Amino acid sequence: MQHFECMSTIENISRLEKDVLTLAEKFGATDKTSRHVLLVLEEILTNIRLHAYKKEPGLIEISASLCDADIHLLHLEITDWGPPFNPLVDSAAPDLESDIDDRPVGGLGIHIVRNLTHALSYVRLDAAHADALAPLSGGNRLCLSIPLG
Amino acid sequence: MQIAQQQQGDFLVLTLEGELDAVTTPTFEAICDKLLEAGTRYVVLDLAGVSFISSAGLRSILILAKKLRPVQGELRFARMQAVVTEVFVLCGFDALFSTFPDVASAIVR
Repeated sequence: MQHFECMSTIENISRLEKDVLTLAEKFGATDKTSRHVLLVLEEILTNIRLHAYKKEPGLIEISASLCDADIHLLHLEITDWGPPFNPLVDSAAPDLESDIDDRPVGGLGIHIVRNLTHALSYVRLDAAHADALAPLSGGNRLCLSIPLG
Repeated sequence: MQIAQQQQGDFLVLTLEGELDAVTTPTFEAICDKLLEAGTRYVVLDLAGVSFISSAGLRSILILAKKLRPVQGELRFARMQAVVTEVFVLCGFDALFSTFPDVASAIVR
């Protein structure tokens, strides 16, 4: 299990994405699955930067490990300490069929994440889960796996 | 993100270079708004130089397309890389837009 953390600035997030990508490649990610890892990270971390930490940058934590099942899976736990937000429930439903006029512009980020991951789940962390660095108000954790093979 | 503009026939060809994500889309949207104000109606996005697109990029494309509708404009795509096509298809954008292998065929009306 490898742990990464940073404050949610654009520069830090870009570096964090590269670090996790380097790990995924070490675990055997192909060009294609590396792109999937980057896309999933970009969607989730951008969401945290723009919504969980709207006013000022806050702490993002990622735990990454390799699940060596039938296929290689990169397992990620991504945590922020912003207000409660469950993207699996609270995001707009994507509309993939309407024409340009009727198609809503929201919901695509979570649609991409759902489609490129396995076993996507959300948990709201209460203060008891918080570590020494985190505020006591609680946080949001997304757990997911991305096929690397 | 670098964006070059060139009028070719009826179409304004925007050649994008870089990543179309949450960091770069505000620049892209601002340029598009200016072009629309200036009367641009027919747009080709040349995406040969775009190596990454996220939902933020797709959203800005959909917003541009919506703004072109009331003025009977059109948005087309040329030279899309496979990595961008994959995200287009995943999000059902392939059904919304015409894509062309090169700019020359994209600007034929």
